[in-house]
Amino acid sequence: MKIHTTQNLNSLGRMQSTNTANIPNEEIRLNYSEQMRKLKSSSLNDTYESHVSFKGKKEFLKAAQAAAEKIKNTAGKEKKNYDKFLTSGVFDKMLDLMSHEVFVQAAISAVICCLLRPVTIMALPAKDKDNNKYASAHSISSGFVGVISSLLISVPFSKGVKYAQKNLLHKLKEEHIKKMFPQVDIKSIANADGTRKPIGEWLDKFGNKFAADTKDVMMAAKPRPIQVVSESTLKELGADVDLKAMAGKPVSEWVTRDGKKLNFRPQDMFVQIKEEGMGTNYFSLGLADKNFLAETFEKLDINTIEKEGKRINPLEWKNKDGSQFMPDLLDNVFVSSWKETFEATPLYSGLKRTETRGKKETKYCAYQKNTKDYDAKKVPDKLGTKISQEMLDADDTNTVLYKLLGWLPDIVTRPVVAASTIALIPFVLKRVFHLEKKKKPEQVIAEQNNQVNTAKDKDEAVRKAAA
Amino acid sequence: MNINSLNNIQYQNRYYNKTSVRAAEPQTIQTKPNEVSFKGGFGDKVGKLFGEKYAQKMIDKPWMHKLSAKLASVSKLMTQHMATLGSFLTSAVYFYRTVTNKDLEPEKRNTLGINQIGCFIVPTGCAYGVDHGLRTFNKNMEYRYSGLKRQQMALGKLSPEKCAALEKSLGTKLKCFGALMGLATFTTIYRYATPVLITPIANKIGDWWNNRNAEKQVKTAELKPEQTRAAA
Repeated sequence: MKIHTTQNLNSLGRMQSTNTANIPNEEIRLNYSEQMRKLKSSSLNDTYESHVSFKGKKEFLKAAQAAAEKIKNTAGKEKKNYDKFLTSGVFDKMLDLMSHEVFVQAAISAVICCLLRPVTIMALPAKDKDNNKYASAHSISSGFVGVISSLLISVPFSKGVKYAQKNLLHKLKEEHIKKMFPQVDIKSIANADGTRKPIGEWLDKFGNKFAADTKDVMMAAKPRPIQVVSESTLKELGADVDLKAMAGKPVSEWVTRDGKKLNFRPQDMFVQIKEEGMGTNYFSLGLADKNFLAETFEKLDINTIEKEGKRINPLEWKNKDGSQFMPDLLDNVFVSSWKETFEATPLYSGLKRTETRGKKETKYCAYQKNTKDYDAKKVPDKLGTKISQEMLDADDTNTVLYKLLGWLPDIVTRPVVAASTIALIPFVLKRVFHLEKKKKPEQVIAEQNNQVNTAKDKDEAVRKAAA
Repeated sequence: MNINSLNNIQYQNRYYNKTSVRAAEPQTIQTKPNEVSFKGGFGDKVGKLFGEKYAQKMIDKPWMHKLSAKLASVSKLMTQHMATLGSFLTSAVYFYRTVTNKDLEPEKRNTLGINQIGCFIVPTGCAYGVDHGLRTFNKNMEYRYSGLKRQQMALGKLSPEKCAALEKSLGTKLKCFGALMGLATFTTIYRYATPVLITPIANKIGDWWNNRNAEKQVKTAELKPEQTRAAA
């Protein structure tokens, strides 16, 4: 298929960009990060948006056709044998148990120390087999003591931490709530009389329902080129197409069974955009940031993409010269459906954050699943709360805090537990390996002397009795 | 001929999707309120007691926040570091108790002492190395797990109750995923791979050490009568 190019891909760089549509003169010199900061600083917390930035040359990839070919060639290779294990209830239970990290460690250790290790050690060659027996006894007793001690010492504490995480966070001091959850609207946490509301009623600074979770973000099924998705998927997305009848035609020429042109929700239409330093990612044309789109599509008239504050069908978008924006857009559009793949991709708008720790990489911001009508089955109409770097840093700190509280009792009692393990070794040696502790030479001599003396005493007693 | 259903089968096989027909059926997920019900079991009572008397009080301590922020700025591998710290303390106690244990034969003390040191130093290096090497694999597995679970939810493969529970706990599960992999790596290396590798090496070093001491004692014993004679 011939790919038509309507964009000059070589001139999309920020430094070369002459796109000043919508941007007041005073802000021409500012980059988008500064514009965004300026725009939002009036309504948001001081540092909340401080890491949002736009930089790097952006390139729209007309990759749908190539991706379709690739998918056709690799069809069926997605499935792996271990998928069943990953989705099994056993694995879920293991993950649930991880709120008791110390116990999980002890349980893994117990299996290893009481079974695997002794068997392997005893099978090893050694001059003095007693050494192996001693090492095995040590292993068994450490596994046994470890699991018992974790049950008695660590599990109650980790249960307490889990309980506090779920039920007591709303009772914390205000200063700590602010630190732990920088996105929270602190006014929303208490009633008029000062009593604390349950966490479920809290709001964040964006007016969304407060969500502490920054890990389970808004995701979509990895978008696939329209060329390869099934009829049922297309129907679900609002396009009832007879694929056999459309075979060989470019997607931009496809029509539905009733002869209408394809019409998707803007949110369901994804494009691939490659940005310098950021790699290639999928962006929904209904959810991508306006300025990000303006930077990517230089010819696009950004004023034409919305009506009454709502994103309209991208096929109705206009270029600055009044012509249709990318007539072949549908040939390069990807759609997202869980029917097509289990691979997931976070929903990005193009806004970025820069890590404050480690390699200080710049990454796209993900979004929380806290909008009112969020439905995991489809691409949402609206993005949730943007997960800022400040939120992620706070979340990292919270994770460390909870882990410290869970591990602290174990760490404090480790020396005692280790001493108990050693105390148990002679018992294991005797019971499992039938190996008694060897007596010292002095003890043996003393015992022998005792025996001799006792025998002499007995002889004398017998002699006296006879006399 | 029903082209639609043929197409479905074709794409289901191709794209690892076997339940697309069911997926089309709308599912209503009833979410429970964001609170945990405590039915009054012993475990729950323990959790509540320790939550109120220990966890809440500790979370409200400013120094805990400062310490956590400091540690978080250094590294995100807290589970792995805690496992290492625990292992260090255990190994230190084992070593001390082994080398000061008068009940043990002196030869065995050396062997086991060397074993204890080796069983901390070597696995620590190995565990961090392997954990680092597995990071990409673990991350990919985490994404795979997350995608599979989301697909299960979206396609209605799970009951509404399970869906609601998973919706609430998926974030925590994903956090636990990395920790579980790290813990499994560290524990296997600390408790199995290294002790098994170290034991024969420690045995050999211990034998060599004991033989050397024995030879020294023999030499000293041989020298003593000569010295006595010389003195006479």
